[in-house]
Amino acid sequence: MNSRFSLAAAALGAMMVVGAVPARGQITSVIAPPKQATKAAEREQRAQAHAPKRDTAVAVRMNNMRAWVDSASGVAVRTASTAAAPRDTTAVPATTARPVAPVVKEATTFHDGAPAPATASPLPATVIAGVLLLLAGVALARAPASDRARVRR
Amino acid sequence: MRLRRAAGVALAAAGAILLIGAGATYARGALRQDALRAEWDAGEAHRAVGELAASLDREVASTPSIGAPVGRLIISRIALDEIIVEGVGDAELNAGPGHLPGSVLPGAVGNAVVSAHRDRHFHGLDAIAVGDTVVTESHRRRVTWVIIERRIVERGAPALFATTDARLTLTTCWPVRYTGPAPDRLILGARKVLERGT
Repeated sequence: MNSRFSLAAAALGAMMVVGAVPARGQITSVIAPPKQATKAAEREQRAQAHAPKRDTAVAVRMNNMRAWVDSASGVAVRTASTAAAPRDTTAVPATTARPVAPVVKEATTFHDGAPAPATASPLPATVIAGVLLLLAGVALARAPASDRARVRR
Repeated sequence: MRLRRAAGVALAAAGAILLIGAGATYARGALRQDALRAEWDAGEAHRAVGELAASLDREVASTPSIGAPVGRLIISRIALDEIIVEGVGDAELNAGPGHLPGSVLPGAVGNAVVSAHRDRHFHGLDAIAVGDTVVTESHRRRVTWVIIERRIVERGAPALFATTDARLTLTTCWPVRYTGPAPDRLILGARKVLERGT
C-alpha cells in the first residue's frame, strides 16, 4: 500500500517535472491593445526618438553671456520680471537706420514765402534723347550698305 | 551684319517713339492754348457787351477753376502773347503760362504769380531785363508793369512773398538752356505802372 502510494507520488512528481513545458497561452488581466493603436504608438515613439532635442545647456550659456556682456558694459541687467519681451540689442533704432533725404517742395498754391512752382520739364531731354537714338539707329542700319559699296569698289 | 541692322532699326524706332511722344505733348499744349484763347476772347466779348462794373468786381473776386483762362500776358520784347491758365499742374503748364492758385489775379492788390515752362511759353524769359515792360489783361482790366527785380533762386527756396501793393511775379526754370531738370528758378518781379479798362 505504501509502495503503491509512493509509486503514485513518484509518477505525479515525474509528470509535473516532465509536463512543466512553457505554456502556449495564458490568461492574464492585461488586455492587449488593438493592432492599429500599437502602430500609432510605435510611430509616436519613433517620432519622439528622432525629434531634435532642445539643448538647454546652450540656451543657459547664451543667457549668461548676454547678462555678462550687459553687466560688463555697465548696462543694468534686465531681469525676467522687468523684461517685457525679448529684444535684439544689436538692432539699430529705426530713426537712425536710414538718413532721410531732404524733400524739395514746390508750390502748388500761393502763401508768403512759398517756393516757385515746379516748371521743370522732361521734354527737352526727351527730344535730345530721341534725336540721338534716331541718328544712332540710322547710322547702324545704314552701315551694311556702305560696307557693301566699299566691297564693290 | 543682320544683327547690327536690326539693332539700328530698333534704336531708330525707339528714338522716333520718343520724338513722337514729345511732339504730341507740344501739339496738345498748342491746341489747348488755341482753345483757351478762343474761350478768353468769347468771355471778354460777353463782358464788354453787357456786364456792369459791380458784377465785374464780383467776378474778379471769385476764385477761377483750374484750367480756366484767367488773363492774357503780353511781353512785346520777346514776342510773347499767351493766355494765362489757372493752375500750375502739368496739364495747365503744357497749355500756357499758369496762374498760381491762391495768388491774386494780375492787377489786384497783392502778388500775382505766373509760371511757365522754360522750353515753351517762357523760353525767351532770360532776355527780359530790369526796366522792360509787361502787359496783362484780365477781366477788362489792362495793366502795364515794369520789371523791377530779377533773381535766381534754388529750387524749393522761398521765392514768392505777399505784398501790400499790386505786384506781378513771373517764374520759370533756370538755366533756360539746360538738359534735364533745371536746378534753379528765375524770378522776375514787376510793379504796376498803368491800369486802364479794355
